[in-house]
Amino acid sequence: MALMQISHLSKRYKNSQKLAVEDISFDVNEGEVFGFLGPNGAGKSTTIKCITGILPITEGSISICGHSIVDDPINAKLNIGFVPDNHQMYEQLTAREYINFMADIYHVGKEDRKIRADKMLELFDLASVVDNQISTFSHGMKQKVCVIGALVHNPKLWILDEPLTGLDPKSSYELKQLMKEHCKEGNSVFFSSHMLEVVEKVCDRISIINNGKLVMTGDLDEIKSKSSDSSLEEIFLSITGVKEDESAFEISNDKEKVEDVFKNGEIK
Amino acid sequence: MGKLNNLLTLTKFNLRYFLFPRFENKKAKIKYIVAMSVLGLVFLIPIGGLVAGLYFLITATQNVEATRDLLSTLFALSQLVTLFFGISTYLQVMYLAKDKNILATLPVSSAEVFISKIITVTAMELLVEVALVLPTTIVTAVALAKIGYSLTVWYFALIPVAIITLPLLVILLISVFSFPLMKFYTFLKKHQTVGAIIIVALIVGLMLAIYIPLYTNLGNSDTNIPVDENGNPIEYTEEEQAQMQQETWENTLNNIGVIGKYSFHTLALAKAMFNESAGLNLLIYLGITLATFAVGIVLSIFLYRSTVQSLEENISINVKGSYEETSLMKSLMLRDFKTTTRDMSKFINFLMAYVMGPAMTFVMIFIMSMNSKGADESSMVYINAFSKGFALGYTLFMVGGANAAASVGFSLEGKSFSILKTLPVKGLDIFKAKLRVLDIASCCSVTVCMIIAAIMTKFNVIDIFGYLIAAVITVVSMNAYCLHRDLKNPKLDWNIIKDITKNNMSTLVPLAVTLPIAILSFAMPFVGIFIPNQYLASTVIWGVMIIAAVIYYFALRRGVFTKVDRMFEEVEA
Repeated sequence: MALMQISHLSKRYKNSQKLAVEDISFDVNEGEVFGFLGPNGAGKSTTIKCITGILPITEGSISICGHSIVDDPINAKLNIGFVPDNHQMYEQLTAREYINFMADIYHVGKEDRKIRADKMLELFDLASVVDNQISTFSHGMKQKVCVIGALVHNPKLWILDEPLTGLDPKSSYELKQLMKEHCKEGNSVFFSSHMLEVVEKVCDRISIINNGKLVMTGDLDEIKSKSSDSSLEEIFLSITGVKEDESAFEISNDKEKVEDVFKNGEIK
Repeated sequence: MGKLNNLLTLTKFNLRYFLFPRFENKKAKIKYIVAMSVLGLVFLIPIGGLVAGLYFLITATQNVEATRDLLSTLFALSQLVTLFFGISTYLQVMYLAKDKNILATLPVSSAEVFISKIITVTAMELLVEVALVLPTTIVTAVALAKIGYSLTVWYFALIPVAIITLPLLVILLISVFSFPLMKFYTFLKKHQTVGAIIIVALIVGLMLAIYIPLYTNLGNSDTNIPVDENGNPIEYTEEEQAQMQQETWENTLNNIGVIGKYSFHTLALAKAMFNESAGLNLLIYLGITLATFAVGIVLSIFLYRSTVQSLEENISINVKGSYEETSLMKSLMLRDFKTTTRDMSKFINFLMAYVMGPAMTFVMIFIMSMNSKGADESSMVYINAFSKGFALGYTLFMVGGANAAASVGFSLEGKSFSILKTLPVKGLDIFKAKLRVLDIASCCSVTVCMIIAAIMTKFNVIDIFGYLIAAVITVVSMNAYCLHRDLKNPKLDWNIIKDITKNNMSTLVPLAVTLPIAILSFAMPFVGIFIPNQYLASTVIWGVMIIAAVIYYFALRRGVFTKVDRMFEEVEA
């Protein structure tokens, strides 16, 4: 059963002629970890912002657990837990106040919030600083508080935008474990990442987006069978056009050709 | 050699970084040049006034000794000005510059970093000295030449020495002052709420300290026309008048020169410039300056090390709270309140909106009460009516028109507005939570204004309730209007709070909207004068004011809620 259904989604920003995301469709099923890949500026964050309700959508539909993010945003959002890439949060609050706030907003009872928060605070080594203001925390600590805030209501769909950036190896491992455990309980995880080896290890299915368009969706074996390349890295580089440019560079031995390839500071 | 190279590179970089601005594009550069040119012209006005006055005093009095003392005073004053501007420069370059971590990773010693920074600070202060010392010393020379006094080569040779050495002594004073200032800064960083309250109290206190004595003194000023035994004005001959004028100028010159006489080191420099035991006096001046500069450097090194270390973030173990369940609305309101009061700049913004109203109401009524001293009974009727109307008008203008919504408005969310959009909460609920926080704060502010006005202008019972009802309805209407306007076009991409209102003409709109009801409140108490019974008069005055406030309510508050959800969804965070 699909927990999230995206159908013909397009997004054009105000004062822009170009579509940032164009006609993309895919489903995220119950119990799966879904990876969303793409180079910088491909449209990953725009898609995630549309899914979470940060940006209004231009065309198409997004449904979370059967609730449209446009027509029934409150019930759709009640099923989402979101960890943004910039760890944007209320830094003047203490970690506990932030968790309490998120729990109030998602209608989590006093006992449930205590059990879930305490478990994750222990897991991420934050229990001893829970009553400090978030503004005093490091980058990684802020991200961990964000994760706890996103999971305090045990959401059906956990969305993470570039979640592993800035985490130490232990926390990175704990987070990956947490993602797997969350799916085992019948929930789903949808995350964007540049770390292809992590995606390869953790994800059940992936989608690759390039220039605002969805290029490929499927599980890893399916994707590999469609391509002559053997690793996800090679497939990714081929699909996003980088690999072809690299081969062009390899055969360009003379100086003029090299300069031509890098004209205006960009690979042509 | 390597160390010297490092020092030169660092100093060159610091000088370029702190002295020369960088621009995004040509347009920004032109804007900056125009702004600086205007500022330069503005700066020329006081400098022009100073040199013109100096020239006039020296030529009018023709007193060389007093001129020497005056020059000493000017040197001492230039050091005071350098101290005033220098503290901020020193703190910015030495402690608050965000290059600490980058510099720590470079293969340079902390001593090299420190010396390059102290050279930068001194260079920046040199600019102030050049602007003050160069024109005043040149004008002094011209004026002395005009009265036939010839200066020796010592005077001109020591002008550059004065410019270069005068800031050195200031470094000692700045290092001493910077220590408590940085301690205060560290305290404010840790206790932002207390810090905001202290800063607002200082601002309001300063305002009261300036306004009240100024007005009291102006009110008590007398013309001092000399009179004879019979009380008739004395008439003087032209010669006597010229003589008196000369005495006045000489007194002025001597009075100004008194500071210079007691400023031992600058007097030594001035004496050297006027060739009075030039060598010895120069030696005394340089000895004092260099010795204090050396002490200043040692002190700076010590304070730099200890203060920078104490500024390091320190996360301590802290487990004292518990999990509490609260309602959605209360949780949203608490979030607004906590995120506002725990951020110093946001809280100052918030407090200023609600403290300035009562403070200014107090000041204005106080000034009027000073004015009414000794007034007869018929005048008092008018003065009371004016005070009453003024109190309400000013409250509405300050609390209602000050765009207080900016304190907890949507723009203040900045980049964290995106969090609000991901929450399973209606935009209308978020709007209502913000509005309630604003309404509570402005009602408290209005109540304090009312208490001040009631005590100072002798309100009756109807006045108390009338004032309160009219003011509360008006300010809550304005709150809804301002918050709604903010949601319509929030400015979320800012780094410092000033960016939200900087160059933003739309912040003046709330003042314009409040103006009609403020004017009506000024006028209404005068209408009351013509009604013989004071209770009937109060009923008429406040009746009209409440009707006007209700009109505001229907025009500004009642309709705003309908479109909030859609507006909230349309914001691209």
